[in-house]
Amino acid sequence: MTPVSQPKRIKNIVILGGGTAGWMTAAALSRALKPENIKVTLVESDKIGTVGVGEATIPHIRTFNALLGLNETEFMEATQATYKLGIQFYGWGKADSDYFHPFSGFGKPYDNIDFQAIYQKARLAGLTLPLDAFSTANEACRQNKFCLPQAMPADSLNNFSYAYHLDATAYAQFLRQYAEQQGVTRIEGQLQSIQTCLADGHIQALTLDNNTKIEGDLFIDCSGFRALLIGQHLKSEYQNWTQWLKCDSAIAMQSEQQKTLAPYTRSTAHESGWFWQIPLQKRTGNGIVYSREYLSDDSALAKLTAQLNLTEPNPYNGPIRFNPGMRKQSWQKNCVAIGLASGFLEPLESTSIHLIQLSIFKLIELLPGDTQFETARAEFNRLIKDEYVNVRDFIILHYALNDRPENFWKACRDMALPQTLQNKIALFKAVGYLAQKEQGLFFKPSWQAVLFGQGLIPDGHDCKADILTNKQALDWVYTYLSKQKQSVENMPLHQKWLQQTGAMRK
Amino acid sequence: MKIELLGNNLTSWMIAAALAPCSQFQMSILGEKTRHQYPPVQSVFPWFEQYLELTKITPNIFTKQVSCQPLLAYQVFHSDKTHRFGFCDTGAPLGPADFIHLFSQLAGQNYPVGEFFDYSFAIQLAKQGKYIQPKKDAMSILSTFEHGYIIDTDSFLTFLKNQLKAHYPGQIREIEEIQLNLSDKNGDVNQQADLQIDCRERQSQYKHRTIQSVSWQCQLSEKPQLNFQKQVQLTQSGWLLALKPNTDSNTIHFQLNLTESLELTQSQIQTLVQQHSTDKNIQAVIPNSIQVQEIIEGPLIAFNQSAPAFNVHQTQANSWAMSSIDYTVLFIMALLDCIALFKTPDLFQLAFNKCYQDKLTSVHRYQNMLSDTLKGTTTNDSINLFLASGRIKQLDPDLIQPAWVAGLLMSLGYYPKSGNPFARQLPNAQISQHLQQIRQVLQRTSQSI
Repeated sequence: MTPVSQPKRIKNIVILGGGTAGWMTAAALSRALKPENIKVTLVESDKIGTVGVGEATIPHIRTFNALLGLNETEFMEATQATYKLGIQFYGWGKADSDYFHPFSGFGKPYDNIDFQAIYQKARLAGLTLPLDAFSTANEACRQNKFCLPQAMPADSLNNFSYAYHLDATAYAQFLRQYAEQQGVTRIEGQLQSIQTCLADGHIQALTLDNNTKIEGDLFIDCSGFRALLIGQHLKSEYQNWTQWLKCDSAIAMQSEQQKTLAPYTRSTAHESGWFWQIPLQKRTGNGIVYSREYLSDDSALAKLTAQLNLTEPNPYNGPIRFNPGMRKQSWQKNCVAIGLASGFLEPLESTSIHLIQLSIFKLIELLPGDTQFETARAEFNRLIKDEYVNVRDFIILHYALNDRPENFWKACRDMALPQTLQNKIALFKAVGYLAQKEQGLFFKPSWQAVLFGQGLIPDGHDCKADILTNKQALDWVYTYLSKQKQSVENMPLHQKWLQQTGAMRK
Repeated sequence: MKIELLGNNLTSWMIAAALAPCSQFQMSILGEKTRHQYPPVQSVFPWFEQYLELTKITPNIFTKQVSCQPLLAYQVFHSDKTHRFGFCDTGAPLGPADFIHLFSQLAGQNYPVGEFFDYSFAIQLAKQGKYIQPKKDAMSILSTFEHGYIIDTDSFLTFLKNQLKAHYPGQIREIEEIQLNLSDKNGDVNQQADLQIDCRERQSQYKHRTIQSVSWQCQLSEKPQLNFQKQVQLTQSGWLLALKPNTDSNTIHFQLNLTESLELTQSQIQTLVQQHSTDKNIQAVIPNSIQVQEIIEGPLIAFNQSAPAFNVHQTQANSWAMSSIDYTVLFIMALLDCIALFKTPDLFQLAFNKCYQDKLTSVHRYQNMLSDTLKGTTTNDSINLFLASGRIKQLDPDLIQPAWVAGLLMSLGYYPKSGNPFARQLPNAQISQHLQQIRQVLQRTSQSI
């Protein structure tokens, strides 16, 4: 009979790898757990660099920071952060298209009728403005303005949310300081070998290159793309999504601070991928994402250099290779993968840090008292997979709906889409129908932003909106627009707001 | 837009009421009036208020004009114990530790913590026969619960007809003369409509007819103390539900949902009713109040050819939680969500079926929890997850809130495994004091109402 290890109380959690994922995990666990009950140890090596995943975030990060009790001003100063109201997509759809995906909805509903339907009716009466014209966040971005929604005057529209652009390496350092203060032990060293329990294959201890042996009951793999525990050791299978997400490389390059700080991320499509531009307080983060099948590394570097109006490239990081997809099981045995060890989706919608955060929250929710992990593990894997697939489909949408002439884009247009996404597009195309969703990322407004933005105009509209005539619908949207203009008029410039709140030094 | 509602019954009038506020919908209700097989008194989940919102009927008008009462709690009798749960939060967390873990930790060490529902404000109110309207203010204790309703269906139907005739006289036609041919897809109906919604009762279509539930009313010697609650009892025959249509009533409505549908003679039905009417307070079964609900073989169809169809008979499910009105409300919510697609039948069907099915799945999952806990089933994934981690599995969308499920499971003695890392790090004395404070606050507040 095969001996089976007895369940025992969890007393030691070991995190392998620092970086954003490692220190976010350490900080959150240290906030929730007292070290005298469960000890958290993080192993990292200064010799190994980090990818510095995701400098642009989505509003959920504020929940994470709130869990830790971080002061926003201190956090922003430490991470050189700026505010972010959404993402501008330039050249997606068509080569000259320009739309905005804000962290908020559009317009104002009329008597429970979704604004989208009213907007569509107003178009029938001659409206030519795009949907994103009815976004307070978009209007503020176009003028580089920002203030917190709660700071807007009472009679103004404050129907927007916000996130941050930040220096991910500085964020990891900031969280390291926090976690160590809370009792997390950091051990310097590189992984040398792994000791497992013969009975059940659970990891028992990690031995480092300096012969330090670290025992644990639960191991968290934050070792990045190398996935030392979940991939190399436990052989958790990787599900590849390159049939839909064709980009496989990126080069990152910093440039000088923007003269006028934009409160949004810019994503510009090029002939075989896209560029990102992320404004931080003292520099701008830039990069190019591309498919090697359609663009060589040298050409990509030249393209990025030209995009930044440089004659020679600034120091750069890359090419970074990636393989879009995820582990079939992010939690296997007594090992949970978080961050790049778990999966990778290109940061087109700034979801990298969010996916780390999601894994941390689900781990905390499901963390059992002892080493009987089966039920928690199954639920964790289900939840993580659902969200990865959800984000994946949303990113695919940006590629699939295009009218660009280049071969890369033609291949994206012609690829067979996941069935769920096909259905979604067909339902939207008919009358602008989008199913209700209550959990995870990307609710109706996000889909509306990208579907309309990429040029998919529905054939019909929701018949419930026919309670209004086309002219009444037109009046409704213009009334809203006027209120929106007034509201944004009084907002300060983003840069000024950062300075006056102390988040950025003058 | 012309809409034909096939069948003249509560379902068709409920649908008409939800569509009527959109003035472009012109509706015809076709067919002879039929007395529903629906039980005459039914309870509904809190999302009934979303239905009222669609109809533009305020809860205030509804409660004034329809014989009904708010439903705060279920009272389940099992193994000589009374279990209570509802649509509410219970207790409060302490730091990162959830209340269920705090409670379980002390209960597991035999601390005198009482019952889980002692820490729910709504349940305390229901126990005392009290009610106060919930509020949305997150800082208020009144935001910790929602309520359903217990409704007299005849009174509800009359109310809906009056409302529609008074407020939307030009929009709704009732055409009783049309004989609907029940065996055909469309019957003798006008083909000019943009959309047909099939609400017909189909009893003549099928040969095998068995009884799924029996309902009756009893006169009591004293006013039953069943205000704001619904009683549920698992008997050898199935679920026995007891409800009062309103707080002033001195009659009680019983409904026996049979575990297996049966072919019963009149005398067997009488015997069944007598067997389940033995409470000492019962004076007599009210004559002519006995009514049977049949289940008729047939698929649970959301679509009949290209038209959305509501299979009334499939709603007589063996459920302690869901009523026919609940099923109708879910149907209406899905219909209104997808109605814009009516011109593309394939897409309409695709969206409608998914929307309706998702809603049903979430409620059926909740509904099955009670039977599985009482039976001690060990294969229910949701229960096993709760026992292992205290987490409530959530669907998307899910009409059932995690706190409601936790209330049900904890009330039935299904506690998560001890040793939760967040609760474990707190001293028992601190947890005990926290629980004590909650009880005091609830006691003080409920007494003042």
